[in-house]
Amino acid sequence: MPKPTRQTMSLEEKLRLIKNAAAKSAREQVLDRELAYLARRAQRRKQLPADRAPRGIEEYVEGRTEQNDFGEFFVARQALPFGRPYGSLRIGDIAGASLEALNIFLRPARNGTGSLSLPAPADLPEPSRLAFLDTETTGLAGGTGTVAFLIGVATVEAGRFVVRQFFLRDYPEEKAVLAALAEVLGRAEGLVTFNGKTFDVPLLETRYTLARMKLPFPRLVHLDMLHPARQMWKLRLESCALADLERQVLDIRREGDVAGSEIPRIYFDYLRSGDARSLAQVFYHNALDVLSLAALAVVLARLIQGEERLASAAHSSLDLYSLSRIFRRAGNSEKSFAAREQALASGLPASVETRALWDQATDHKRRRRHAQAVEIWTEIIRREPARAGRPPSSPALSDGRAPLAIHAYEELAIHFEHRVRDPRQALAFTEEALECLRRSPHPSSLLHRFNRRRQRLERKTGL
Amino acid sequence: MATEIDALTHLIPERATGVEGALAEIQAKLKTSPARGGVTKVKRIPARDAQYAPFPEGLSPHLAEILEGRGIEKLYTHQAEAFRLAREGRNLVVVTPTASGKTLCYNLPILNALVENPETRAMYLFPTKALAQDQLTELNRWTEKLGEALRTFTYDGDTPADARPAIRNRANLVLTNPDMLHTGILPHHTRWERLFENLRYVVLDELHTYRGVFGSHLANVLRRLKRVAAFYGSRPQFIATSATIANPAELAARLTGEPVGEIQENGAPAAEKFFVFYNPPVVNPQLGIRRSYMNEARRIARTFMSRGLQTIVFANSRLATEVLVTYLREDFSTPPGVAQRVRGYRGGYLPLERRAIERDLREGRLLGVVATNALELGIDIGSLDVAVLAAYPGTIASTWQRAGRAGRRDGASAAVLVASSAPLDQFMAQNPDYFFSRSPEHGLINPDNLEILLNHLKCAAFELPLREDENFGGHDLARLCRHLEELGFLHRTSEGWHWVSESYPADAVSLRSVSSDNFVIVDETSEPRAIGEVDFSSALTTVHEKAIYMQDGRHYHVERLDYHERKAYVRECQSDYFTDAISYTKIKVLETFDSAAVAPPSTAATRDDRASAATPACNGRVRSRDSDGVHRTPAIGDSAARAARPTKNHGEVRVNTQVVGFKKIKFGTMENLGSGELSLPEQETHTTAYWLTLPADLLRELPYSSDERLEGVGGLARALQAIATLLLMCDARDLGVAIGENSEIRTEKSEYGSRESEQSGLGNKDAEGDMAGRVSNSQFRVSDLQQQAPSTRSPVPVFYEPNIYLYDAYPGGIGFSEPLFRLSEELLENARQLIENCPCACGCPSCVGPAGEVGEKGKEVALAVLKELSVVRNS
Repeated sequence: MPKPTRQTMSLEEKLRLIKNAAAKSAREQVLDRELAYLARRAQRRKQLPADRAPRGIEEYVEGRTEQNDFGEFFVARQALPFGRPYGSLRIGDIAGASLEALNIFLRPARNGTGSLSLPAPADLPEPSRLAFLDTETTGLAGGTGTVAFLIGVATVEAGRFVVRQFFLRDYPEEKAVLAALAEVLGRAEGLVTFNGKTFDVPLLETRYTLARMKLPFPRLVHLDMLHPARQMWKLRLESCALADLERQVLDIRREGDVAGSEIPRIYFDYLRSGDARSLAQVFYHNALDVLSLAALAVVLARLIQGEERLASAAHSSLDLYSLSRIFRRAGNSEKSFAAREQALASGLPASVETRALWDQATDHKRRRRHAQAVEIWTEIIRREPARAGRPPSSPALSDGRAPLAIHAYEELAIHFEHRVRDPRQALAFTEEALECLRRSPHPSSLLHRFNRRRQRLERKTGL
Repeated sequence: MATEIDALTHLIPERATGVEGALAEIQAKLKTSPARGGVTKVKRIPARDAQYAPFPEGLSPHLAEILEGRGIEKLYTHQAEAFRLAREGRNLVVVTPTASGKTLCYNLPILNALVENPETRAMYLFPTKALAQDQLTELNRWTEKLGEALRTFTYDGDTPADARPAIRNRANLVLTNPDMLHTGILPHHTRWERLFENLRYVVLDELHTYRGVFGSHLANVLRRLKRVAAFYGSRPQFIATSATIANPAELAARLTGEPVGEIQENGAPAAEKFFVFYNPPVVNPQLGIRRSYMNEARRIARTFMSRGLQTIVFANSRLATEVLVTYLREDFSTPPGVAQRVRGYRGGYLPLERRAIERDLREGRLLGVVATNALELGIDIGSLDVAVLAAYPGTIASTWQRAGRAGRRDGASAAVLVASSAPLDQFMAQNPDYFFSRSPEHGLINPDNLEILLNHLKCAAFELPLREDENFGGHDLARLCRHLEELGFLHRTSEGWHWVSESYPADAVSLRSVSSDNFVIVDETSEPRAIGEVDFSSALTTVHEKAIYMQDGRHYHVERLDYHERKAYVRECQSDYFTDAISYTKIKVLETFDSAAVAPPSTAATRDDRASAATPACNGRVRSRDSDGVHRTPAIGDSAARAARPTKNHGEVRVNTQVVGFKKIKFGTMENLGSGELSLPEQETHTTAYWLTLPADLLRELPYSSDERLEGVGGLARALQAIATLLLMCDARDLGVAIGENSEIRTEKSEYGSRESEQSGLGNKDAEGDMAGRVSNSQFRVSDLQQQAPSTRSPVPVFYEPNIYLYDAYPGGIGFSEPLFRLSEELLENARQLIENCPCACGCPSCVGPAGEVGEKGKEVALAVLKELSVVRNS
């Protein structure tokens, strides 16, 4: 290394050089995205007089400046009457919903392998004690440099569903906003979010820690709707993002909404220009997110309680099967079985049906209804294309495992070896399974298991 | 402290055994005339007794008890001194050789503090994950006795995600590395609240590795660490250890931004040691070719090992390591099924395998190991009898560090440096006193390098808003913040400057040139399994398709390289050749920071006494100032003035390198068996460069063919690179060399030659260097291995007005180019001396490169060009 370089150019000049170079490479990377954004923004701006002076958030969003111990902050408060419709629901449905059905998502999954000795987690409180929360942030990177500049939180208050949106007009207002949010959360006992476990809550925790303030979250029961929604709707929807669920499940159409990926730039533009025009859309986006989150919780609770009408026959069978899996995961095999029977009766797509049949056979076996189980296993072998060595039909269901037919062969072999005590029949199934395994690559552990079984059966049959 | 002797036979009794016996045998067998080579120096370093101190005041009785339980009843003086200074709250750096009980210097005061106050937290930074693992093993011995008082974990890229939250909250001693601190810990400091609230000690182990660009980055990471700690109300104390460098305390102070005390007294004992310099004899005086240093290193290692002496051989590249393992395995073969007695060790072996090799070395189960610098650092492998250095490691500090791997508590040990034919090696072998009289290198860093500083300012703003009155670097912080605001990264409020970007800035800054993006080697000989890793930068040259990949002496043929999945699929094979990749480098000048005519030499040692007439940097400078106030090269309009004058320049460049083919080289004879073509993705780096423009007239007037002229320029470039590394005290790998066409003239030559663009005043801005010099795998030149110069010559592209580039081999540059620009005249003068004084007839690897590469006239042309440069200077 050389000695620290002598300053041959002034700092100004060096910065200029570096800036040019940095701008060159950085720009190249984000150019496409920026251009697309600029084009859209220019379109929007055309509708407005070009010479309009920048105006603050108060001009575009109905709200007010409040004050607490930490200073001033801006809050937009909307109290929605219960009678107001929201997609297929009314706002009042949220306040009056019984959400205890959702408690099954607060329990650890029961795989039937003994009960866990963990203490039972607290239940979700009454809707009037819940806070529905969603944040708009300066990015998805996480860490200490990402800020939640708009925090929407909805609660039930005196016959209204109240959506509060706390907004950072600039960074120094953050402490006041966090304190105001903590006050609202302090009146709640439970929290409902969408992906809040991984995103919103850790991010807000970071903000509270940076502000050297106490975290409002530990005392709240937290239901993150992301995974429940996926369990419920993954089978029939391509995407389980909140916006897609809102459109497909709640039947809501947004107008003039802004794409989530544009939001950080809109806020940064506002910080630079002081012009809050585009932020109105972000407030709208955030308020709808909070409402949809709450509505989704209501719909899901109703589905689980069997109160919700299911949209169409095709949807209902898939939803019923999803419900069956949710019950199964929660250890409620009665309801799981019943929902599955109903789903099978109203008809499922072939790939899903095989999976449902498999679950059904497993339930039969558990209840020692072996004849029914054998019948279904035989049926699975008949319809599954494992014989031809084709890959499993539905990747979503197979989870990368061997085709169900192979597992059905194994079950049948076990059944005939140990219960019927017919080693010849068991051996026949084993040979067929091995034949399938030879045709297509499968986990070697499976092959190993069948080979051992064959050896043992050959001994028993005296071959 | 050392005595010198010319011949070992005077010193070593007849029929000596052990190390002395082996040395006598080497001296007897390899004796040659001093002019032709052989042993050029033997230095005897006498034994040293241990110096002890009693357990220091303040040492917890519990710790004292544990030490006594291990049979330690007193400390070495440096350990006791470190404990005392640390207890006083001083920052300190301990500088003692390998195996002198360095770790206890920081472990003892810190464990003491943890025992006294269970809330205390400490963070250890190691330059590699392997060193952190090694230290964890050591600390776990303490955990057995201390129980809950010591809760120590490593936290790095290998830490499973589900274990991380527990470590963040529980650990009171965290072992990590600068990269993890930079990308994983600081940007998430709120999750480490408890650690930062109670952070009392930060340990920097192997401080000397934090030089150059890595050190400049680390200094900024530590600035960030200090401000985050201050946010939580703590102010950590720094304890560092370092190998011997010229300025440990200064380096530590620059890195930490704090005053640092230094402990140099070494209380650990050492037995007698011999340091031998060996230069392979010349076998072809005409071509200046010496015996292959690889073969000589093998013979020397074999001499020691056949006497049962445990030997470590250091090689400078992965390839050389594997070649030597292959050789020594042949010499010490074991029957099938019996464990090998010789192993290789380098980055890229899987961690478990490395741990096994380290253990086998410690426990004496291995007779020999061939390693890269991966074993130069303080990984515990015990002490060995002999270290053989196959080629000069590049720096004096590294040489001592590697030699230090040999050294028993009792009984003599030896270190042998086998010189390669590289210019620096030859210089050291021929002037061994220069080596022994010189202090090791300075560890230099430049934390205020604007590129580096700005990157870390972004990270700092991401972590906590920046305030203008903060102490962060030597520049005007408010001005830098305004700059980052203009680029859209920061936003100013009454509280300071806030980060306003979606990006995660730490991800965009790599602390080292080597990315963490590794290629996995998958052996498909039978069941597919991963056998090792290669880092990104060497993957393209070592595991391209059809390459012979060598690991631990086994040969694998690379079947296929999956560039996107970062995997190389290989099959084991028996090969009598290895492969050496050929890469091409292309340079484009993006921005010229400064340009000037080559000025008269400035040092008194030069021929030209008129040099003192003017400061070189200002003399004859052809420079114009444009309206922006930025210095640029003059507009092409005055090309008449330019054409006559060679210029020196520095600025920003884009370097594109591509591996385009490979050669097959036969083991043993080093014959070139053939070659193959490859098409691999091009790698692009932005960096800074120094370059010399040789005017067309200057070359045209030389009485040589155009091929000869250009080959000579290639030879000159090689000599310039060697001297530049010496002037900058950097490693040869830090400085790339390439030749390209100076663009303006190309415009003139171009069919569409638009005079308009020539007058646009763009200067070098859009200069596109053409195909550049042919560069072999930079860490390892096959010609260094070869006894015979290769018979085939690569085709040389035609240049009209060539630029010789010396560029920083780091993205963004480390700041070598500006000093080279300043030292330009010294550089040229020293290169002239190197070439003129080299005894070879027409070029050899020690000056301009062998005639086989630079042509019969290469040396002549290079000298002629240098003389022309001085004529031009004098005119």
